[in-house]
Amino acid sequence: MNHQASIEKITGKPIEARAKKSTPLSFSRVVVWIKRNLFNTWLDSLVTLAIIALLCLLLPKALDWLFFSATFSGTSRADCAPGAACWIPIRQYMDYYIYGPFPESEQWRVNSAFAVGLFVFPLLFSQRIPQKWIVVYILVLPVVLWLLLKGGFIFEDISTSALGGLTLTFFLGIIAMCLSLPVAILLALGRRSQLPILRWACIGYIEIIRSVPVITFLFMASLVLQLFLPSGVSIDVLFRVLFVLIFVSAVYKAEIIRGAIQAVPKGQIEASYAMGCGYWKTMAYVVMPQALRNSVPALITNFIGLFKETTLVMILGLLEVMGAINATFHNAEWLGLHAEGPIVISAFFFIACFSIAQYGAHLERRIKRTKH
Amino acid sequence: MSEQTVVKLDQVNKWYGKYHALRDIDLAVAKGETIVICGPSGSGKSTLIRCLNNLEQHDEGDITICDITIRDNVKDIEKIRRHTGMVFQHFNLFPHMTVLDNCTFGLRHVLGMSVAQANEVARDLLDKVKIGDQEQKYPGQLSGGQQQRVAIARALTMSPDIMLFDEPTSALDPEMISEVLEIMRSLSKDGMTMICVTHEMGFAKEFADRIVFMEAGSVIEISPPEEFFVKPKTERAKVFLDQILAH
Repeated sequence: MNHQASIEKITGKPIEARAKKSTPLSFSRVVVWIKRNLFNTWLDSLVTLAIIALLCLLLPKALDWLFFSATFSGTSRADCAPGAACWIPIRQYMDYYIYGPFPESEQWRVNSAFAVGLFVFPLLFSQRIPQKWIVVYILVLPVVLWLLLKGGFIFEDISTSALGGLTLTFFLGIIAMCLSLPVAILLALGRRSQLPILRWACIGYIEIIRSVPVITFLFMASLVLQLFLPSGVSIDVLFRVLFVLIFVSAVYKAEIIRGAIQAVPKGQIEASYAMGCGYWKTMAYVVMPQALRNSVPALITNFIGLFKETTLVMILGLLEVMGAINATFHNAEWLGLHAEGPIVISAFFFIACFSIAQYGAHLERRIKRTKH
Repeated sequence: MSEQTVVKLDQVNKWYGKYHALRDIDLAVAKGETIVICGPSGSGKSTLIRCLNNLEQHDEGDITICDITIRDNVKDIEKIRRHTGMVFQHFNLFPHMTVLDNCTFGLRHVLGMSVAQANEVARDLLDKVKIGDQEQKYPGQLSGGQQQRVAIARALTMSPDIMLFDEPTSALDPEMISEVLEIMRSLSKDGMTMICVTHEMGFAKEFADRIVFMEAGSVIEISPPEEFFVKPKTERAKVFLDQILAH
């Protein structure tokens, strides 16, 4: 008896008949769905109606302010319509927001930096490229970005004050993300080390750093550090800021990774040791691949936090994208436009962070597929 | 040490805090011997076998494996571990690697073989444990018995001189025990030196050259199976055998 026939025998129905039962979307089914999901009990109905009412009240006003009555073209403040958003300065200063005060003749370097940096995404999404190459790319990326944006080697030096806007945000965010992960892995391993001095040092470092606000370290990096350095010596503020971002966020990642390492059964480590494999290879091939997979959701959240923390460098006078946008609205010409700047900043960070989150979700689904 | 002796324990002692886990253990195993260690739970069988490849450190006495005495020298310990293969109660396969990758792990990362060469060796051994057709599966997709056979193949890839089995069938469903024992039997027949902690008295009777009976951290009897099962020297061994053979 063939498969179809045997199924029909069990169900008592020919297969065609059962297949037809899943009818396409019809009006009556929509009504049933609405009844079930939106107006099931009187409380459900109340919540549904309240939310719809709220949206009806706010959404038209917001859309009107943002788009319909807003001014998009013009050259000066006089062109702005009253009582609605005025996007003229955003359009005028767009180049400044992206490139900051970067010398115009060298802007190709910024463009290539964006390209090289964003190339990480297709690379990370692809499943055909060996992980080894991805790791190499991620470790080389900070060096490439530094050369392109800050200069050195064959590239002309760019002064730190010429870095700003999206360029700076991108520069700080990507470099800090790429380098804080290896630091975090080493800290997590150090905290679990058999060597007491190393272990205590890592515990002390982690506990102290994570109990102090990041902004304090940024202040310290700009002011306190100078006290300890011999007079005349100064470290570029970019270095100091990166140093703080990397070594502070690494602490949080280290704790995430440590938890994931502890979740790898001890027996697997013993099995690897029993074959004569040493500590580093056991960590690299047995423990870390599993631990990193398990910490993906928490690490992605941490990356998003780190990316947003780059805005704090404003307090050291660095004009990253938020500082750049704010600065233009403090210009006498555009004084009095309060909301437009923050809205653009929010939109930018939302797009960037939501993309990172989407990558995280993709990674989770992929891991779930390969995990058995 | 005679040329034939591959494992030698001399007055080995171990403590967990104040708990005396191993007491004055003396044991010599000749090349090609199959030794079964048995005894009630908590008697130190697992501790003993895990001391042999330094997964646990002993506190006093000497353990010599293939003419290398365990000291705190990391290189020596890694050498000893290459001479010994270990099979665990809970298999301890690497869940993120396929069966084949599990078996090439040591060849590639410890012996530095190329992928192609390692695959060839691993496939041979997977065929030997009759699981060659599952090489692309992940451990989680296999039954317990299959996983343990992969674990045995993985240990064999390193062509060890001595195989250590730490309760290899204790975590298996009854119907899967025989497929693992069958592999162990064929290894024993082929002349592999084997030290097994196991409750499988059938296997012990048939294949062990000597039975080591432990109790409270001491070895209290070492006899060939025909003597041990028929006429145990100590009362404790007799009680143990009565209990274990009752089912």
